[in-house]
Amino acid sequence: MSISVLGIGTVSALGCGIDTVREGLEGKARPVIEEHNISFTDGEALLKVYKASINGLDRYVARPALRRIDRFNQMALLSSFLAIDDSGIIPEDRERIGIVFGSGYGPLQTTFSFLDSLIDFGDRCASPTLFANSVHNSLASQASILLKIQGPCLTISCFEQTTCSVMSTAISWLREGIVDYVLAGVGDESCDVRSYATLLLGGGGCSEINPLSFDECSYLYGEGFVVFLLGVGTTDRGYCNLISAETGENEVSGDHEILFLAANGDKETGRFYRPLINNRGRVRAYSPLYGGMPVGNGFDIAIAALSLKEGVVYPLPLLAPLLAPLQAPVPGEISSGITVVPEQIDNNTGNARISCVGFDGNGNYSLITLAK
Amino acid sequence: MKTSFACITGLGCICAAGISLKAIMPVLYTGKRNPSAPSNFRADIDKTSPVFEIAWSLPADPSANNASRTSLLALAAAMEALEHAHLDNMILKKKRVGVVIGTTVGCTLNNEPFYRAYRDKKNPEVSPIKRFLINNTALYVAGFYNCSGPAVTIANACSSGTDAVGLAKSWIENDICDIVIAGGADELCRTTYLGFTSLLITSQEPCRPFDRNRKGLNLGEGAGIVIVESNRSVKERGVQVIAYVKGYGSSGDAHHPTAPHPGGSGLRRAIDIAMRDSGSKVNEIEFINAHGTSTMDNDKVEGKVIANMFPNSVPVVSTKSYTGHTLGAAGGIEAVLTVQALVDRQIPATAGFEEYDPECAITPTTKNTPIKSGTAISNSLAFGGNNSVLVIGMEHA
Amino acid sequence: MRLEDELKSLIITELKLVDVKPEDLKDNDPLFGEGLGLDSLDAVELVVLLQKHYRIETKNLEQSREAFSSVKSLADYVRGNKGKK
Repeated sequence: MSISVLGIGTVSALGCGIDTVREGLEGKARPVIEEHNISFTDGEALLKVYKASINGLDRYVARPALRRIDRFNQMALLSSFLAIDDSGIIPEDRERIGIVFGSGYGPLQTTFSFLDSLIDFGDRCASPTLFANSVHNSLASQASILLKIQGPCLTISCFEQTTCSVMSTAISWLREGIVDYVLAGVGDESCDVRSYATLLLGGGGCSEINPLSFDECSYLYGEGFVVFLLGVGTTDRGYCNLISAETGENEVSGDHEILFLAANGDKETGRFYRPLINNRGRVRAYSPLYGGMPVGNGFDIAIAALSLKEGVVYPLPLLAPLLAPLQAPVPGEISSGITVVPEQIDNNTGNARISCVGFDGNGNYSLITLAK
Repeated sequence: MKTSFACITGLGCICAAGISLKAIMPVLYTGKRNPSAPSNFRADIDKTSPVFEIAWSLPADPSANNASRTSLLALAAAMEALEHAHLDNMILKKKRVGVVIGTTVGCTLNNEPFYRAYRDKKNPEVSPIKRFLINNTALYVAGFYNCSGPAVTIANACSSGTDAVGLAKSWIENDICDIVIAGGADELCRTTYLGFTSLLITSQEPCRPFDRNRKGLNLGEGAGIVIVESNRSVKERGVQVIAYVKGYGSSGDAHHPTAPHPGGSGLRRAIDIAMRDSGSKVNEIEFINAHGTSTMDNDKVEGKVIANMFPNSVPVVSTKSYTGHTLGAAGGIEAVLTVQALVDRQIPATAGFEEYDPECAITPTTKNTPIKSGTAISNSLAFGGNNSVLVIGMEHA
Repeated sequence: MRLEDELKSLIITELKLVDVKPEDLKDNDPLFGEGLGLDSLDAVELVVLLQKHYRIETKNLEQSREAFSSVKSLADYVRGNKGKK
């Protein structure tokens, strides 16, 4: 039984909708990177953050219905509507659609806004609305309410392993026949505390993410949400097939025709990606387009689906300062097939596939494979 | 297609009623409970509600790795369950072992002292962040036992623990794992306490599920872990099967962020799906371990659905009357207690229940009630309208 | 400012009502259900509003149902309870 990626919706620093991701890949659009000013007792620091913009949600939801829905939740909602629109499918039986969402950190900003309510006005004035919105599953719940989806509704949160768990759960639901369609989505949001924590943990001090330079930290964090409408079917529907989503430890075995790394300039995980540069097939890393986040590999899956649909592998994204070192790659360091123009995917055998790999800080990997 | 079925080979539990499942059951059967004001934090409110807090000190951090209280609770229950299942590190190493645990606090960055210091621009140290990053509940347990299979933390509010056991069943049936450490864990936390207080659904008295004069819920803390194992692995190890996870069903109300659907349509469908999945019939259900939080809304909706779907007045118990509402842990704890009640062939009285409420339409157990060893149901209803149901049985299929 | 008008502004801000101006709200219009369309989550947020701005503690929603029915009844409730604590 094959599982198809039928539609994709994204909200990221590139904009809203999968077309903005394509424009980013083609070098026609650049991600919005904001500077956050972090103040300390003894001064200030600047930190660069990939900032998402949310446009067009009012096309799907009347403004009054959005009054209690926070920004992160709006990202998830808009991505969900965009994914369904993108698929061109109007699933009729709402009891046969499931939602599985994931986030590395959950609704951070609302969690802190809830704390603000009781710190500013006292424990008696803790806001019930903010509390309800601060629980991790509020995004999936709101999506189910506003899209009238009545199948199972699940939320997962386990840092870098989140995306893989979300996708494997969606695959299970579809294979077991529990539902006909799944909205599977992941995301994370920016907030001041995350900026502060990123700074303390050593990130954000550079100017650009340099994902394949493993010896230095070039981590900039990002925010966004990506949702896939998945269904049982054949490849002629939608983008491509979702083959598998599995986890393991340390070494990712075998050679891969095309390998997308979720490397994002974080030095701690960088060491696990380094050996994969010697993969015999083509290697790419697209985090400079969407920014660093635990669920960043969700965007890699979107890019893989797009690549398979278009039959091309997009070049490594080059934001201006990155261009120089890449035009003269260090011999042996970046050996395999990195170019600056899109390459055709060789699909003579009819089974072109792309594998997306991501690591956590302990060397646990997740490997998500898609094929035409 | 299903290549295997989900056997339960170990149980572990820790909650206000006791430090281990062995200690908990006698407490439930004698009807004892003692919720009291929270001792680990202060809350400046008029409406203080008692909590089911674990009063004794927890075992020292066995991982010596800065474990959070939620991680420690999960480890304590996992240890008991693994020992019960005769599993040690040597065996775990050879098997594909997955971990799936539900929680709310265990995956939330809400460290209040850190945040207050941050707000005051006092440059708080990064250690609370680092602690948060190593204490994701399922990842923590998977790391401690060096498990090679998938590790997933479910953050589905109050149905998390039930959903975790449901996912474990799927991993076994689809041959993704040989063994799964599944359940829920949650600690009491000031933030959550103030949140529930603000929703006006906590009771200043000990909770009384399904009672006409119920005033709301009491929060609790704890962990419940079941070891779910494939029949092949069970056979190979020659261990005893305690019970089976026969069915799981989950369904959304698509109604409201905090209130259940008044007609209980989502719960109805979740029970239907779980029953169909289990292959059991309505008249085969020996008892229902209800979600039974003791809030006005929950008990009304759940009671009516039960009365309607199980017309032959099947015994209903709310074990939350002894554990409090342990949120992400609840589904795990209740799965464990449901299995043990089937083994013991009796279910405890629902503490606090005195007066029938026609709005709930059911009378829960009022004394220890003998049951046949057969099949039982455990319900969970969550914020956001998710309903999840487990069917647990002593016989497979 | 009339207490009723003050409450209208507070309700709009605290409950994040969009496209509603204070003058759109009539003193006797129902706040819940058919009227302004508030729900159970707004009811508990109203309790916080009263605590935050008037130091009024509302312990039981059932008993306050009457008081929460309109801006007028809410104003009467505030007048009756202010400074009681």
